[in-house]
Amino acid sequence: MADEQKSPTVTIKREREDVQRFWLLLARWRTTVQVTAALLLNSYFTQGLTKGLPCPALNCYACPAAAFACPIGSIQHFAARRRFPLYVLGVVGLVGTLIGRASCGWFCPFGWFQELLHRLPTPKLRLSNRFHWTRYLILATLVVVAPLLTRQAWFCQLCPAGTLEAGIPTVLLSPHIRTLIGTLYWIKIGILGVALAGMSVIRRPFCRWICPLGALWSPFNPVSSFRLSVEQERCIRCNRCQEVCPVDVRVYENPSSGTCIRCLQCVSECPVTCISVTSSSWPTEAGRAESAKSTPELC
Amino acid sequence: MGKHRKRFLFLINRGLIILAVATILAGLALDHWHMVLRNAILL
Repeated sequence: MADEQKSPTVTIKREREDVQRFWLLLARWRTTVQVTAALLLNSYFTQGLTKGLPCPALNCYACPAAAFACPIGSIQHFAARRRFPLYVLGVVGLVGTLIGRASCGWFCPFGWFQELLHRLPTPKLRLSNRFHWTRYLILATLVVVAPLLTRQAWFCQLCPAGTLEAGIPTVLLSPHIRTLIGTLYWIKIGILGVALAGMSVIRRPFCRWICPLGALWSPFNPVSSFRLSVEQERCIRCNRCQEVCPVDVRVYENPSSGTCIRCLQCVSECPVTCISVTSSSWPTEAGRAESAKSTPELC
Repeated sequence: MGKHRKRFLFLINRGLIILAVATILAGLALDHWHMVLRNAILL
Protein backbone atom coordinates (compact mmCIF):
# COMPACT_ATOMS: atom_id res chain seq x y z
CA MET A 1 0.00 0.00 0.00
CA ALA A 2 2.85 2.35 0.92
CA ASP A 3 4.66 1.57 -2.36
CA GLU A 4 1.49 2.28 -4.34
CA GLN A 5 1.28 5.73 -2.73
CA LYS A 6 5.00 6.52 -3.08
CA SER A 7 5.58 5.41 -6.64
CA PRO A 8 3.69 8.21 -8.52
CA THR A 9 5.42 10.84 -6.34
CA VAL A 10 8.86 9.40 -7.07
CA THR A 11 8.06 9.22 -10.80
CA ILE A 12 6.93 12.86 -10.88
CA LYS A 13 10.06 13.92 -8.95
CA ARG A 14 12.32 12.07 -11.41
CA GLU A 15 10.48 13.61 -14.34
CA ARG A 16 11.02 17.06 -12.82
CA GLU A 17 14.73 16.38 -12.38
CA ASP A 18 15.00 15.21 -16.00
CA VAL A 19 13.25 18.37 -17.18
CA GLN A 20 15.58 20.49 -15.04
CA ARG A 21 18.61 18.70 -16.51
CA PHE A 22 17.26 19.40 -20.01
CA TRP A 23 17.00 23.15 -19.29
CA LEU A 24 20.53 23.22 -17.85
CA LEU A 25 21.86 21.53 -20.97
CA LEU A 26 19.92 23.91 -23.19
CA ALA A 27 21.28 26.96 -21.31
CA ARG A 28 24.81 25.91 -22.31
CA TRP A 29 23.77 26.08 -25.98
CA ARG A 30 22.30 29.59 -25.81
CA THR A 31 25.09 31.29 -27.76
CA THR A 32 24.79 28.66 -30.51
CA VAL A 33 21.03 29.25 -30.66
CA GLN A 34 21.60 33.03 -30.82
CA VAL A 35 24.09 32.71 -33.71
CA THR A 36 21.78 30.31 -35.58
CA ALA A 37 18.80 32.64 -35.07
CA ALA A 38 20.79 35.65 -36.31
CA LEU A 39 21.77 33.71 -39.45
CA LEU A 40 18.25 32.38 -40.05
CA LEU A 41 16.61 35.79 -39.61
CA ASN A 42 19.09 37.24 -42.12
CA SER A 43 19.29 34.30 -44.50
CA TYR A 44 18.61 36.42 -47.62
CA PHE A 45 17.63 33.57 -49.96
CA THR A 46 14.23 32.95 -48.34
CA GLN A 47 13.19 36.62 -48.60
CA GLY A 48 10.63 36.00 -51.33
CA LEU A 49 8.82 33.41 -49.21
CA THR A 50 9.18 34.71 -45.68
CA LYS A 51 9.44 38.50 -45.71
CA GLY A 52 5.71 38.82 -45.05
CA LEU A 53 6.06 36.94 -41.75
CA PRO A 54 6.91 38.85 -38.55
CA CYS A 55 9.94 37.37 -36.79
CA PRO A 56 10.08 36.89 -33.00
CA ALA A 57 12.92 39.41 -32.57
CA LEU A 58 13.92 42.99 -33.26
CA ASN A 59 15.58 42.49 -36.64
CA CYS A 60 15.37 45.33 -39.16
CA TYR A 61 13.51 44.29 -42.33
CA ALA A 62 15.32 46.93 -44.35
CA CYS A 63 18.56 44.97 -43.82
CA PRO A 64 19.66 43.75 -47.29
CA ALA A 65 19.79 40.16 -45.97
CA ALA A 66 16.70 40.19 -43.71
CA ALA A 67 14.42 37.24 -44.39
CA PHE A 68 11.54 38.22 -42.08
CA ALA A 69 9.62 41.35 -41.11
CA CYS A 70 10.43 43.25 -37.92
CA PRO A 71 7.27 43.23 -35.73
CA ILE A 72 7.89 46.79 -34.52
CA GLY A 73 8.47 48.09 -38.06
CA SER A 74 5.28 46.33 -39.18
CA ILE A 75 3.21 47.76 -36.30
CA GLN A 76 4.40 51.26 -37.21
CA HIS A 77 3.60 50.61 -40.84
CA PHE A 78 0.04 49.62 -39.93
CA ALA A 79 -0.27 52.60 -37.55
CA ALA A 80 0.89 54.96 -40.30
CA ARG A 81 -1.73 53.44 -42.61
CA ARG A 82 -4.28 53.70 -39.77
CA ARG A 83 -5.02 49.99 -39.85
CA PHE A 84 -5.08 47.65 -36.87
CA PRO A 85 -2.11 45.21 -37.04
CA LEU A 86 -4.07 42.03 -36.24
CA TYR A 87 -1.58 39.66 -37.84
CA VAL A 88 1.51 41.13 -36.19
CA LEU A 89 -0.08 41.49 -32.75
CA GLY A 90 -1.36 37.92 -33.02
CA VAL A 91 2.15 36.59 -33.68
CA VAL A 92 3.67 38.77 -30.94
CA GLY A 93 0.90 37.69 -28.54
CA LEU A 94 1.34 34.00 -29.32
CA VAL A 95 5.11 34.14 -28.86
CA GLY A 96 4.66 36.12 -25.62
CA THR A 97 2.05 33.71 -24.25
CA LEU A 98 4.17 30.67 -25.01
CA ILE A 99 7.67 31.82 -24.00
CA GLY A 100 7.35 35.35 -22.57
CA ARG A 101 10.51 37.38 -23.24
CA ALA A 102 12.60 34.28 -23.98
CA SER A 103 12.84 35.46 -27.60
CA CYS A 104 14.90 38.43 -26.38
CA GLY A 105 17.36 36.10 -24.67
CA TRP A 106 17.52 33.39 -27.32
CA PHE A 107 16.61 34.70 -30.78
CA CYS A 108 17.18 38.46 -30.91
CA PRO A 109 20.33 39.28 -32.94
CA PHE A 110 20.53 42.75 -31.39
CA GLY A 111 20.33 41.26 -27.89
CA TRP A 112 23.19 38.91 -28.74
CA PHE A 113 25.16 41.83 -30.16
CA GLN A 114 24.71 43.70 -26.86
CA GLU A 115 26.01 40.71 -24.91
CA LEU A 116 29.06 40.54 -27.19
CA LEU A 117 29.78 44.24 -26.73
CA HIS A 118 29.48 43.91 -22.97
CA ARG A 119 32.37 41.43 -23.03
CA LEU A 120 34.74 44.19 -24.15
CA PRO A 121 37.28 45.06 -21.46
CA THR A 122 35.77 48.44 -20.53
CA PRO A 123 34.76 49.84 -17.11
CA LYS A 124 31.36 48.39 -16.16
CA LEU A 125 28.42 50.24 -14.67
CA ARG A 126 25.52 48.57 -12.86
CA LEU A 127 22.18 50.33 -13.00
CA SER A 128 18.93 49.19 -11.43
CA ASN A 129 15.82 48.44 -13.50
CA ARG A 130 13.90 51.22 -11.74
CA PHE A 131 13.27 53.14 -14.98
CA HIS A 132 12.08 50.11 -16.96
CA TRP A 133 8.86 51.99 -17.77
CA THR A 134 10.75 54.06 -20.38
CA ARG A 135 10.33 51.20 -22.89
CA TYR A 136 6.54 51.46 -22.52
CA LEU A 137 6.78 55.21 -23.08
CA ILE A 138 8.79 54.63 -26.27
CA LEU A 139 6.28 51.98 -27.41
CA ALA A 140 3.36 54.35 -26.89
CA THR A 141 4.92 57.47 -28.37
CA LEU A 142 7.32 56.44 -31.16
CA VAL A 143 5.65 53.19 -32.25
CA VAL A 144 1.95 54.02 -31.94
CA VAL A 145 1.05 57.69 -31.45
CA ALA A 146 3.70 59.42 -33.60
CA PRO A 147 3.16 57.14 -36.67
CA LEU A 148 -0.62 57.53 -36.27
CA LEU A 149 -0.36 61.31 -36.26
CA THR A 150 2.46 61.91 -38.74
CA ARG A 151 2.23 58.77 -40.97
CA GLN A 152 5.94 58.19 -40.46
CA ALA A 153 7.67 55.21 -38.80
CA TRP A 154 9.42 57.24 -36.11
CA PHE A 155 10.99 54.45 -34.12
CA CYS A 156 12.51 52.96 -37.29
CA GLN A 157 13.95 56.35 -38.18
CA LEU A 158 15.91 56.41 -34.91
CA CYS A 159 16.37 52.70 -34.11
CA PRO A 160 20.06 51.82 -33.56
CA ALA A 161 19.40 48.22 -34.66
CA GLY A 162 18.07 49.58 -37.97
CA THR A 163 21.08 51.85 -38.42
CA LEU A 164 23.45 48.96 -37.75
CA GLU A 165 21.70 46.29 -39.82
CA ALA A 166 20.22 48.41 -42.60
CA GLY A 167 21.36 52.05 -42.61
CA ILE A 168 25.11 51.47 -42.75
CA PRO A 169 25.08 48.39 -45.08
CA THR A 170 22.69 50.11 -47.53
CA VAL A 171 24.87 53.21 -47.70
CA LEU A 172 27.99 51.08 -48.19
CA LEU A 173 26.39 48.93 -50.90
CA SER A 174 24.63 51.63 -52.90
CA PRO A 175 26.45 54.69 -54.32
CA HIS A 176 23.06 56.18 -55.25
CA ILE A 177 21.92 56.14 -51.59
CA ARG A 178 25.22 57.75 -50.55
CA THR A 179 24.26 60.90 -52.43
CA LEU A 180 21.04 61.15 -50.36
CA ILE A 181 22.73 61.22 -46.95
CA GLY A 182 21.39 64.09 -44.83
CA THR A 183 21.19 65.29 -41.23
CA LEU A 184 18.90 62.43 -40.17
CA TYR A 185 21.51 59.86 -41.16
CA TRP A 186 24.14 61.53 -38.97
CA ILE A 187 21.64 61.77 -36.08
CA LYS A 188 21.07 58.02 -36.48
CA ILE A 189 24.81 57.37 -36.48
CA GLY A 190 25.12 59.50 -33.32
CA ILE A 191 22.33 57.50 -31.58
CA LEU A 192 24.03 54.25 -32.63
CA GLY A 193 27.38 55.50 -31.28
CA VAL A 194 25.83 56.37 -27.90
CA ALA A 195 24.00 53.01 -27.84
CA LEU A 196 27.19 51.06 -28.64
CA ALA A 197 29.12 52.91 -25.93
CA GLY A 198 26.30 52.21 -23.47
CA MET A 199 26.21 48.51 -24.40
CA SER A 200 29.89 48.03 -23.68
CA VAL A 201 29.50 49.57 -20.21
CA ILE A 202 25.96 48.53 -19.09
CA ARG A 203 24.32 45.12 -19.49
CA ARG A 204 21.77 45.08 -22.32
CA PRO A 205 20.66 48.73 -21.93
CA PHE A 206 18.54 48.65 -25.10
CA CYS A 207 16.51 45.63 -23.89
CA ARG A 208 15.98 47.15 -20.44
CA TRP A 209 15.01 50.74 -21.17
CA ILE A 210 14.35 51.18 -24.89
CA CYS A 211 13.10 48.10 -26.77
CA PRO A 212 9.38 48.45 -27.60
CA LEU A 213 9.17 44.78 -28.57
CA GLY A 214 10.42 43.87 -25.10
CA ALA A 215 7.74 46.21 -23.75
CA LEU A 216 5.10 44.27 -25.68
CA TRP A 217 6.34 40.94 -24.31
CA SER A 218 7.00 42.04 -20.71
CA PRO A 219 3.37 41.77 -19.50
CA PHE A 220 3.29 38.17 -20.79
CA ASN A 221 6.14 37.03 -18.52
CA PRO A 222 3.95 36.27 -15.45
CA VAL A 223 1.37 34.32 -17.49
CA SER A 224 3.47 32.63 -20.18
CA SER A 225 3.73 28.85 -20.50
CA PHE A 226 7.50 29.07 -19.96
CA ARG A 227 8.14 30.56 -16.50
CA LEU A 228 10.72 30.61 -13.76
CA SER A 229 9.93 29.75 -10.17
CA VAL A 230 11.97 30.05 -6.99
CA GLU A 231 11.73 27.81 -3.95
CA GLN A 232 11.88 30.62 -1.39
CA GLU A 233 12.57 28.22 1.53
CA ARG A 234 15.79 27.02 -0.10
CA CYS A 235 17.03 30.36 -1.47
CA ILE A 236 20.00 31.73 0.49
CA ARG A 237 19.78 35.26 -1.02
CA CYS A 238 23.39 35.10 -2.23
CA ASN A 239 22.58 37.34 -5.26
CA ARG A 240 24.42 34.99 -7.64
CA CYS A 241 21.35 35.10 -9.93
CA GLN A 242 21.63 38.88 -10.21
CA GLU A 243 25.40 38.73 -10.81
CA VAL A 244 25.05 36.44 -13.83
CA CYS A 245 21.78 37.94 -15.13
CA PRO A 246 22.26 39.82 -18.44
CA VAL A 247 19.48 42.26 -17.44
CA ASP A 248 20.38 42.59 -13.75
CA VAL A 249 17.21 41.02 -12.32
CA ARG A 250 17.12 39.82 -8.70
CA VAL A 251 15.31 36.60 -9.60
CA TYR A 252 14.37 35.51 -6.05
CA GLU A 253 12.45 38.76 -5.53
CA ASN A 254 10.38 38.43 -8.67
CA PRO A 255 10.86 35.37 -10.92
CA SER A 256 8.14 36.70 -13.25
CA SER A 257 9.77 40.11 -13.71
CA GLY A 258 8.90 41.80 -16.99
CA THR A 259 12.58 42.57 -17.53
CA CYS A 260 13.65 38.88 -17.34
CA ILE A 261 14.64 37.51 -20.75
CA ARG A 262 14.53 33.81 -19.73
CA CYS A 263 18.15 33.15 -20.64
CA LEU A 264 18.32 30.48 -17.86
CA GLN A 265 21.71 31.73 -16.74
CA CYS A 266 20.39 31.97 -13.16
CA VAL A 267 18.99 28.42 -13.35
CA SER A 268 22.38 26.99 -14.23
CA GLU A 269 24.40 29.19 -11.83
CA CYS A 270 22.25 29.03 -8.68
CA PRO A 271 24.44 27.38 -5.97
CA VAL A 272 21.44 25.77 -4.23
CA THR A 273 19.46 25.05 -7.45
CA CYS A 274 16.35 26.72 -6.08
CA ILE A 275 15.41 28.34 -9.42
CA SER A 276 13.56 26.10 -11.83
CA VAL A 277 11.65 26.29 -15.07
CA THR A 278 7.92 25.67 -14.75
CA SER A 279 5.17 25.47 -17.27
CA SER A 280 1.55 26.45 -17.07
CA SER A 281 -0.43 23.35 -16.10
CA TRP A 282 -3.66 22.52 -14.31
CA PRO A 283 -2.78 21.69 -10.66
CA THR A 284 -3.40 18.01 -9.93
CA GLU A 285 -3.66 16.11 -6.64
CA ALA A 286 -0.44 14.17 -7.42
CA GLY A 287 1.46 17.35 -8.28
CA ARG A 288 0.35 19.06 -5.06
CA ALA A 289 1.25 16.06 -2.96
CA GLU A 290 4.65 15.89 -4.64
CA SER A 291 5.43 19.57 -4.15
CA ALA A 292 4.34 19.37 -0.49
CA LYS A 293 6.64 16.39 0.14
CA SER A 294 9.63 17.27 -2.05
CA THR A 295 10.64 20.52 -0.33
CA PRO A 296 11.55 19.05 3.09
CA GLU A 297 13.29 16.11 1.39
CA LEU A 298 15.48 18.37 -0.71
CA CYS A 299 16.37 20.56 2.27
CA MET B 1 2.00 28.83 -5.31
CA GLY B 2 -1.62 28.26 -4.32
CA LYS B 3 -4.01 26.01 -6.20
CA HIS B 4 -6.31 28.87 -7.20
CA ARG B 5 -3.47 31.03 -8.46
CA LYS B 6 -2.11 28.12 -10.51
CA ARG B 7 -5.53 27.50 -12.02
CA PHE B 8 -5.98 31.21 -12.72
CA LEU B 9 -2.62 31.39 -14.51
CA PHE B 10 -3.42 28.24 -16.48
CA LEU B 11 -6.75 29.63 -17.65
CA ILE B 12 -5.26 33.03 -18.53
CA ASN B 13 -2.45 31.30 -20.47
CA ARG B 14 -4.79 29.09 -22.49
CA GLY B 15 -7.20 31.99 -23.06
CA LEU B 16 -4.38 34.15 -24.40
CA ILE B 17 -3.18 31.35 -26.72
CA ILE B 18 -6.69 30.99 -28.17
CA LEU B 19 -7.00 34.78 -28.53
CA ALA B 20 -3.60 35.04 -30.25
CA VAL B 21 -4.37 32.21 -32.70
CA ALA B 22 -7.74 33.79 -33.49
CA THR B 23 -6.03 37.16 -34.06
CA ILE B 24 -3.47 35.55 -36.39
CA LEU B 25 -6.25 33.85 -38.38
CA ALA B 26 -8.16 37.13 -38.65
CA GLY B 27 -4.93 38.86 -39.65
CA LEU B 28 -4.20 36.19 -42.26
CA ALA B 29 -7.58 36.90 -43.79
CA LEU B 30 -7.27 40.69 -43.65
CA ASP B 31 -3.61 41.78 -43.39
CA HIS B 32 -1.36 39.10 -44.80
CA TRP B 33 -1.18 40.16 -48.43
CA HIS B 34 -1.04 43.77 -47.38
CA MET B 35 2.09 42.98 -45.39
CA VAL B 36 3.62 40.81 -48.09
CA LEU B 37 3.17 43.58 -50.63
CA ARG B 38 4.58 46.20 -48.26
CA ASN B 39 7.63 44.11 -47.51
CA ALA B 40 8.12 43.20 -51.15
CA ILE B 41 8.97 46.88 -51.67
CA LEU B 42 11.91 46.41 -49.32
CA LEU B 43 13.36 43.43 -51.20
